[in-house]
Amino acid sequence: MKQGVSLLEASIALLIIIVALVVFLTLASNYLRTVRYATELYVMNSLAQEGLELVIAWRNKKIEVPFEETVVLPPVNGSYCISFSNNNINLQPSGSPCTVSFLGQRPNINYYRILNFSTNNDIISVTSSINSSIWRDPFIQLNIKLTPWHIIFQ
Amino acid sequence: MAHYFSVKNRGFTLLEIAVVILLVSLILLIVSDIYIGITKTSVILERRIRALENVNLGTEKVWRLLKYSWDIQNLGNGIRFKNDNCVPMTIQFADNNIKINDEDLFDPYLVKVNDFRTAIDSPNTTERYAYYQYAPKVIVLYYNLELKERITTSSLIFQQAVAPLNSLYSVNKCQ
Repeated sequence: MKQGVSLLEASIALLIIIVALVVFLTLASNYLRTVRYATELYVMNSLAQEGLELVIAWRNKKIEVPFEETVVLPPVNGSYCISFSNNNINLQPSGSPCTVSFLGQRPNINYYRILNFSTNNDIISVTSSINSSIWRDPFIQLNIKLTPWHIIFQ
Repeated sequence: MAHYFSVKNRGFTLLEIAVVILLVSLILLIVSDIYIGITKTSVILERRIRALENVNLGTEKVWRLLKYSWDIQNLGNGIRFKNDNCVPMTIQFADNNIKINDEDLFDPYLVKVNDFRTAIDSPNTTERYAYYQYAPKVIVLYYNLELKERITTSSLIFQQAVAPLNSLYSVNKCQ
């Protein structure tokens, strides 16, 4: 005798359809998040790299002295914030990351940067860490080893 | 044969068929809507990835040129310098793009430049005997870009700094 579809069968069919829809939607949303994350990482990577370039420039600026003066690289150890303002590089000791400053309009997200210095003989190891108001953990960390500066005579 | 013509095997009523068609069309509508949505998203994201790659290539080119540059001058919205072979070059904001000697840095179909600013440091001494005494030690570049994604656009604001290697030379090779 034909009875049609039972409530259990209909429920299972409905469940399968819902699971398939949820899987589709999750895939699409994960894809979106991944690309947004990639864009964020790109910006954070640029800003971490900017921090290291500013450190190299800070070291190189110590060479800008009159001929009779000796060049001294001040001792650095611990956590610092670095920024570029008024055509100068500012390196300040800091216990927590500082907001990255921009030359123009700021992005909607805040980025925070901190540099960690550790000196061993003449070599200074620098780590530039960046996090953002969206991702709190230091997502990007770049390292550089600074050797004492030297003038290149041609 | 009698089985097929029995009273119990009457087929579907018009109402049953109507309900089934309605349900199938509803499911089709939902599934196709989701499918179109996913396709649209994937097209947008594919464009964004391409645009991001284009930005990456462009900024690396700028970084490489400026890293080995001489005679650097800041224009506010660009940099004038000489490359490692002492050929004069300009990187400047124009026509919603960044031009390197009149050549587009970014693909205009993928990236639109809203703003581009540049800054260099001032020397700590007024002496100009050696190149390293007055050569800029850092160039800061600010990018305000729009990544074009066919239907929508997304903003990309970041900064890049370059510490030119040649700023430690005592003699300006390109003077």
